[in-house]
Amino acid sequence: MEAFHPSMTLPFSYTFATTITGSGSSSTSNTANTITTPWMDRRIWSKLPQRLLDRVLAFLPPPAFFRARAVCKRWYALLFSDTFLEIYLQISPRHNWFLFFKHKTLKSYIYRNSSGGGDHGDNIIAPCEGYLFDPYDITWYRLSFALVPAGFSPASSSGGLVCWVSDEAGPKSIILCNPVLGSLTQLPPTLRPRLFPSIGLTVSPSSIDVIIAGDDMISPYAVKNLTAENFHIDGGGFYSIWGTTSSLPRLCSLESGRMVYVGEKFYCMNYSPFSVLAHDVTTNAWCKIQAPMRRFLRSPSLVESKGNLLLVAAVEKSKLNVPKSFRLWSLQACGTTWVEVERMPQQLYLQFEELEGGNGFDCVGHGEFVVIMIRGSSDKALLLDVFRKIWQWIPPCPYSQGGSGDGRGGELHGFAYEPRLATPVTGLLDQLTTIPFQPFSG
Amino acid sequence: MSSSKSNKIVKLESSDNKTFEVEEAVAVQSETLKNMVDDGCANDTIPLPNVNGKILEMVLGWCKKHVDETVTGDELNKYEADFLDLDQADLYGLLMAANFLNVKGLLDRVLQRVADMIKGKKPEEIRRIFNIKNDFTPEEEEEIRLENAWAFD
Repeated sequence: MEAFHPSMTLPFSYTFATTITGSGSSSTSNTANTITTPWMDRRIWSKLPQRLLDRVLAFLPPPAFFRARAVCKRWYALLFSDTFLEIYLQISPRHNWFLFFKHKTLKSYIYRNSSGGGDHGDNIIAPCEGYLFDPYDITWYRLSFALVPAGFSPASSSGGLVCWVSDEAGPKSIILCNPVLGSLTQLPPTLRPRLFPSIGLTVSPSSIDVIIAGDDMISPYAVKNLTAENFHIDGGGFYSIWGTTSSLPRLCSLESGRMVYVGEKFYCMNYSPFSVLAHDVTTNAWCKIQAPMRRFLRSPSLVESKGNLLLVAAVEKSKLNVPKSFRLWSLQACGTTWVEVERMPQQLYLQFEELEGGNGFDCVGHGEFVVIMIRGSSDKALLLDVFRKIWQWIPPCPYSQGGSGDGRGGELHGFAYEPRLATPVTGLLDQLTTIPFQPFSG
Repeated sequence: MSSSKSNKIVKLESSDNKTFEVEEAVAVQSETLKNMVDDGCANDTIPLPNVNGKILEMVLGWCKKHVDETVTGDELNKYEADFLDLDQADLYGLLMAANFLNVKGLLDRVLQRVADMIKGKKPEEIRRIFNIKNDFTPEEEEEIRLENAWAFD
């Protein structure tokens, strides 16, 4: 197989970022950032009124905003200023970034003690840090999650919040965290005992919805995909504390996968054979959608892309001589048909396939970006800009290179994450401690 | 086919006494001008003493492009991207005018452009550019850097 040459002309624009040998040095994160720091004339800009300058700050991506807090006391305090936050919530743009954690394999749950005692390097991999990735400037940041208690793992993200779920089998506890603020809010525990359910989260400025599906423990040793529970709270005063339940379609296999929220529905992959399950939040009903080319898919994932649901997967050769490829399909408005919207350039696919070596891959995405993470490796991931059709290898995270002693710590597990300076919707959860439980008739 | 909108013309005068005539549909992209039209104050020439002719022409060009139904989405994106290829004095003028005239789409674009210009800068440089006094003690500043270390890496 010939090596890929970046100078080859391709129908798609294609870039190949050089691998940065991560030594944790602080200069690596700045290499991509130094391109846009033009000299600014103070004779002009010092005249800018404070009010307008505050608006400029609302447009800064969070790392730049936090650096700007060191400018003066007034700027430091903006994060707590209602006036500023009101403007911020109205005008700040959406940052379609990603958050990665060191992956804990399912095996590590079974052999680990519930708290404190476990000793095989398990507590070292407990995700007390996450790696924030900016796909616009191709820059990595390291965030601390030291405040998240042990025994929880990240499960989903939406609207600036990351949802952590308790590892232990039984009714599940959920914690919502705003990573850049370090704030935590706990939800009441779910009602049914589960092992490793699939979790979906959607957060809007005035509502929070969480769905937990599958892995019902019908006995301490037996697990079956039977039901889903929903949590809902909104600014209009409606709430359902896991009181809304639904039955999953028969014989479904969710494999603790992610759930993706698009257009008032939660979607997740159903395995063997592949199909897509959709849960309509308003009707509380499930339905099954046939997957495109379902007999030929490998490692399918679902991602959100500017209001559309995309299915991303490798297509294997079949008896009919379908060429191996990597494709993205978009679910059409009818809710049953898929249309192919993008395909990996064949040269890149050959390279990708060789690196991937049959281990499989996972995809996450939102807005214009999709990130494809090769399983079993800590530093091989592709970034796709779906709209500009640009594929590029992501430089490895300089902070995650030192794996833990047992060698399981290397693989990164990612989420589409939108960093936000304020997530006031969590204030709704404070009400739950004061109102007695009232089931929501949904 | 006649438009259902009025074909009324709005007359504007810049700070340097240049006059501009635009259709009402173009002018009301500016919330400020829209309020005047709604309040019936737009019958005579509207003076804009804090916007000069060069900048006003740019703003009106933006507004015209955004009511033109023959412009495709791609063309508009390219127009908006090229539009902000300006020197700093003009960018500043545009920011002040877009704010005063309250042309939302334009204001957001310019704010984003300025944010992009400063996002890679260190706090010392930001202070210099905007003439902001550093009212932290060195100890306080160090504490802030530690508190938000992830952003400073």
